[in-house]
Amino acid sequence: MKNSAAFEMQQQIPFEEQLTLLLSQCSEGDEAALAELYQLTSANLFATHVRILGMNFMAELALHDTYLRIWMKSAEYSDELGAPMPWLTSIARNHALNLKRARRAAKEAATNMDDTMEIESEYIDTTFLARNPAAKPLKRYLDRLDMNTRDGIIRAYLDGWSLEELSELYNQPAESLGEAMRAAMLSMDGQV
Amino acid sequence: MMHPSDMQWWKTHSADYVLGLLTNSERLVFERIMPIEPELREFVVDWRDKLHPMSDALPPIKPPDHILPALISNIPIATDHAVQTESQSATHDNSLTQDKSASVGTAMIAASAIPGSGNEANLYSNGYDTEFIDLSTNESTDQTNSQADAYPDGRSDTPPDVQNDIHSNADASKANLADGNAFMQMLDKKQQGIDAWRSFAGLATAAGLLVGILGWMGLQQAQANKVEPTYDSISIVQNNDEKALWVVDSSADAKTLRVTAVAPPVLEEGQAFELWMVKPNDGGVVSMGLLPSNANVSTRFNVHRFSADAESFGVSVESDKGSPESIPTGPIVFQGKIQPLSE
Repeated sequence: MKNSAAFEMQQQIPFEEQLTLLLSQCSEGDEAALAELYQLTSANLFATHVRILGMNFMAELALHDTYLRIWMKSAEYSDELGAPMPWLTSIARNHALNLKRARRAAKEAATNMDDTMEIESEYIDTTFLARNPAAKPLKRYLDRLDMNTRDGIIRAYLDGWSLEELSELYNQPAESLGEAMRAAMLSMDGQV
Repeated sequence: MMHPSDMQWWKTHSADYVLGLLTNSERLVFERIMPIEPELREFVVDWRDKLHPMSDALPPIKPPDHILPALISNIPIATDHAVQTESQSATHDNSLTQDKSASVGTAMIAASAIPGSGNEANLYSNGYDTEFIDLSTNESTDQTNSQADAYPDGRSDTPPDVQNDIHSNADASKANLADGNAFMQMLDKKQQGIDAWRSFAGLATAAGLLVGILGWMGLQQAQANKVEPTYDSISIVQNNDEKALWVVDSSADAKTLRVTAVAPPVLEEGQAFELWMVKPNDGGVVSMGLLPSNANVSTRFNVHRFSADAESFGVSVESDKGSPESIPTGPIVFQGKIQPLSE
């Protein structure tokens, strides 16, 4: 277990540095470090899982397995991979997307699958981004895009939608929608 | 080194990768190339940083309290299991070292309920060891199935794909290159102003390097497997109502499956669901063991004959001791294909 002096020291260092330190400790087999990393980040990562998978056992399983993956990959982490929180989130998101794709594939394999997708018809409001001060430039940028492109980027990133699903939702050919989304992404440079 | 004129092309598809718009095969190729292309990693990190504020803006959700204890308890379990797997396998599989240096192979199993009959012809059974983990109570036990090492058809314990491991590395690289060609060709159609042959040459160079990298990764994997089996696939067995019944994780490298019962159907007493892996080209089926019937329980199967080339699977209803034959004897109630999956 971590002694109190070390614990206090960790409390005084910036959050990102704290995560980096904990990842380093995880790579050395420190289970207490994993527990602390979990305490600090699990609510954020679980929000990502729930957003993609819904509030259910699958999201819980995804969270459990995400931290096992983090434990396994902790030795790979370095500054080159960016700040720790986006890196952790990418592991969580990729794992949730894997589950979502597996669900999608299972659905496609069904012989009597319902061809109609359960899709929402309303556009996504970007006001949720205002909650995060760091997201304001991204919000400003997204708000300038046409609705399909903006929604496509948000739904693909946050909800794990495929281009085909987005194409069906917006009744727009996947190729043109994909091109519009790519162009919008490339135009982000210097603005976000 | 990435050719400067290809930078924009890769940057665009890095965005697709981070957004999650690449197909399974495209993503696999992309993730194989990423470790050997620093510029590609930089693009990915850049896109990730740009989009992360969206994730960061989501209201945090406190996960249920039982997850952390389960997580912590599963780390030493997995470690013990890996050691146990090695010693058990060594008794009948002296090519273990080769096995562990097998190339990175991933698969996603997706299944859905179908009415229908079983698989046929050219079939054989497999031994397996199991380990149970209760995610709700954090308790676990190791169990060795009495069928372990029993191959009724008299086949060698070591499947061909393990014996030919050195070749499998090269084959995997070729497969990656083939996939890469398709990837490049397809994406070329969507990109104007890109010098296609130069892009291809860039990928070919990358793929050439990949041969060496995969060999190196294989050695690293051999070390890693002494500590923890890495589940590099996720699979969902669901019913016609799209309700998840089981989640199957597999590791072709560690020859391990983990099956988590989410909402398994109720069977009559004395019956059980048995998982069968179907190999390509009428290669027969291999029993992966009985599926757990208690919700929230994970079962680890040390399946020596699990291989990355399996392309589909089925779930049959058998007696609670498993099929008495090397093939399913009960009805196949779920069936699905296996797909490559990224990390």
